[in-house]
Amino acid sequence: MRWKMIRGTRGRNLVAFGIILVAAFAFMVRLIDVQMISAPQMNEDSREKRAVPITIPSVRGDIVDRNGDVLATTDERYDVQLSPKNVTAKNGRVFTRPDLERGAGTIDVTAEQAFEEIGAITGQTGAEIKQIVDDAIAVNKNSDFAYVKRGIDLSQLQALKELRIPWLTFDSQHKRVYPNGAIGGNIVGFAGQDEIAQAGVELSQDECLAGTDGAETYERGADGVQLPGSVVETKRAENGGTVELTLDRDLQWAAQQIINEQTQNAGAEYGYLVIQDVKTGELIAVAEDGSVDPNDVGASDDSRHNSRAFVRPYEPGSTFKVITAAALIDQGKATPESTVTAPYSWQPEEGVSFSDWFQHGPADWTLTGTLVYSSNVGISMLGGRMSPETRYDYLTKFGVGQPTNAGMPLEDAGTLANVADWDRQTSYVTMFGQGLSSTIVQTAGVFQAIANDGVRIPPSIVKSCTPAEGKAENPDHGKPVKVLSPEAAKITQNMLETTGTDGLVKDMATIPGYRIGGKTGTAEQSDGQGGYRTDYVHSFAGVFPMDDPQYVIVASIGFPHGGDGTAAAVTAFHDAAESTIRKFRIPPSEPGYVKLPIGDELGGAG
Amino acid sequence: MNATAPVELDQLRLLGAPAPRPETTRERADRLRPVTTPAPKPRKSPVVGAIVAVCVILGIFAAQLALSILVSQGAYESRALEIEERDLGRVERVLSQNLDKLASPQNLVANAAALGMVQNVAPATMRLSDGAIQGSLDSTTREASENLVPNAQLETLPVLDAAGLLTSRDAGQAPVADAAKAVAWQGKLPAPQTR
Repeated sequence: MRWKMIRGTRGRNLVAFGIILVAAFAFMVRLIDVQMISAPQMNEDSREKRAVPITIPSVRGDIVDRNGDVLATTDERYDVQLSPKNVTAKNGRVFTRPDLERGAGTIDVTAEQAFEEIGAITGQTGAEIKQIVDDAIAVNKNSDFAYVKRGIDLSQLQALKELRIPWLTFDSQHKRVYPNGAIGGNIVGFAGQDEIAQAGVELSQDECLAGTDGAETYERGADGVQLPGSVVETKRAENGGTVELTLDRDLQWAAQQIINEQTQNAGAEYGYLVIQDVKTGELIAVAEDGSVDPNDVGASDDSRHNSRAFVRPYEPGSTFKVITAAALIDQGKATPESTVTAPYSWQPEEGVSFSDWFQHGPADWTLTGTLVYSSNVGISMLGGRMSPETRYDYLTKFGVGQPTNAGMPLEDAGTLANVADWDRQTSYVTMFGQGLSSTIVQTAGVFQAIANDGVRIPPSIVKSCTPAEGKAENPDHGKPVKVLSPEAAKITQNMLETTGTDGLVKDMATIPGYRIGGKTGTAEQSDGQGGYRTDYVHSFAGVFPMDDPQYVIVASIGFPHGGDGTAAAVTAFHDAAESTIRKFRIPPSEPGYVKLPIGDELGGAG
Repeated sequence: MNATAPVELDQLRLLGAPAPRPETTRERADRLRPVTTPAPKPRKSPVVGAIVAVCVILGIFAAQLALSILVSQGAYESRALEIEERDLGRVERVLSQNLDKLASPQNLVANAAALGMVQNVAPATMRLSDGAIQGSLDSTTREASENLVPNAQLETLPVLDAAGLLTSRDAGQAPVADAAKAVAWQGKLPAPQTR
């Protein structure tokens, strides 16, 4: 009966259905297994075979000047690699390439020929490249990787690709380039191999400049071609931001040109020159002799790698007499006409003595006169009307001993001992800029405050950071400090103008048509062993145009041994002021200069 | 396919015909009568169906193959275009960086000096409100000073010579004339035509 049933029509259908059911079940089990149970493992296996992870390198941001001219940018360079095991494969070391001259067929090329061809492009000899291959093979017989040359440029890359050498491969890398060379090299700084920031704004703004590398994977077929639609972006690359500086490239070049020339002329150890915008506190140029060319860091001395305008303070000397004068006016303790009788040498109290820089009999000088003749004795006699605490307070408000936070990675705040620690000598010499130290940028800040009607705006070098996507951020350089009353600042400006226009260096400082003010300084420097060196740092700090002060220029020439340091510093100011006038098209000044009385005229003093 | 065919059994013939019913004399309208079965359609040959099915399947295969070829062709093309885009981007980058280098003050001063350009030390300005000239109109000029600020990026870029032609930067010296080969000038020296 059963047999009969099976043999019957129904039975056959049943059997067929059963087989189909079993097969379908088997397929279903396998499907579940493939799709769900062993899916992760299989994905993993297949990815290892076909998926290629790649890093999407982010591009480090540019550093630009105030006009957007590029000071630092990122270039793409190429690494040439070869596969040593493939060079030596097929003992004959022969490969073929299309014969481009005949236009058809192929030609055989030996490895030696290929080495010569590569070397002709990369600037190596064939033997050197052969050595690379042999060295790699000596270490590992199956070596598949060796660098031929790193960091070649695009034209070399294209020439090498035309050689069609099968075992030659290429990779790209990023390299920092500085199209303007040493212009602002001291400020911009540099980044070395693998774009690791080492100095300057490159270092201080590294967080803004550095991007985040992205990552993606794709799957490739047996011939290496990417499978369509298989790209998976696992992480998005974010390029670095752009840092804008307050520097003006052209003026920075002119300033470096000027200070290099004057440092050479005077045979000095160093020279610094700073141009600052009075209204904003922005540093338009910060020049130093022999600044580093970030493209070729090794070519300059280690001491030139950081901005000395920020890290090398020195005793400013007589330029700081202006601080004492301004404080006297602001305190109401003196007017520009307040007169003292100053001897050549003065011993105000036991154990304290100092003298003027030139021999003279007792002279009746106004406060302005003590500035014009740069009399240490005269300014100390008048400055003594204020307590040391008051004078210390003014020095601090003028930014002496305070870091600028301008945006540099390294900074020396200079030395200003607490007033409680001042000895008697220090209490006097700080009135004419000795016994304390400041960087040239801090000195510029002092004159900026006077020129800006008594309000000191902290100097800045980094203007903004603009991320690749997003809004620009302005770093905080500090709040403006009210140092003097506007009236006191105005009176101090008038004294500065008299000192600059009718002082001892007027012939060198004058710019026809423009009203300038300024003060020289010739300062002794510590020899590091408790005494003073026998040579000096010569400075000139100037402001112009005096009818509406817009720029402060300070020049310092350190330890000249081949010329007149003061002349070099004043000439640097003069030339830099002329360059600034040309660059910013500053119209000539409105007349209105009034010479303040200075007291006894000592014509031959200079 | 099932190879067996259903066998139709003729019950009447097997079991013998029943006694015929007496004929009714009257035709009634409501009388049941067998429906005349429609004539069976002539069976289509299975070959035609099979050919159609195979053609459809082949068509699907062909379409899939064509689609696949198109997609992979597109992948090759897009890869080629991506490489081209990358190469053009590289060229653009090199060109714009060369422009930056050529625009550097060091390059400009070298070329300006080679062309004999001078600098107006104190330019005069004109005030628009009243047309007054400020400053001196015949101000002094200064020759461009030699560049003292290094730029290693310029080493590979050419520079202008006095004739306004591009020359290699390090080829500063004029070629040394070979005195022996020089031909002595015969006759009167030509005078330049100046006005």
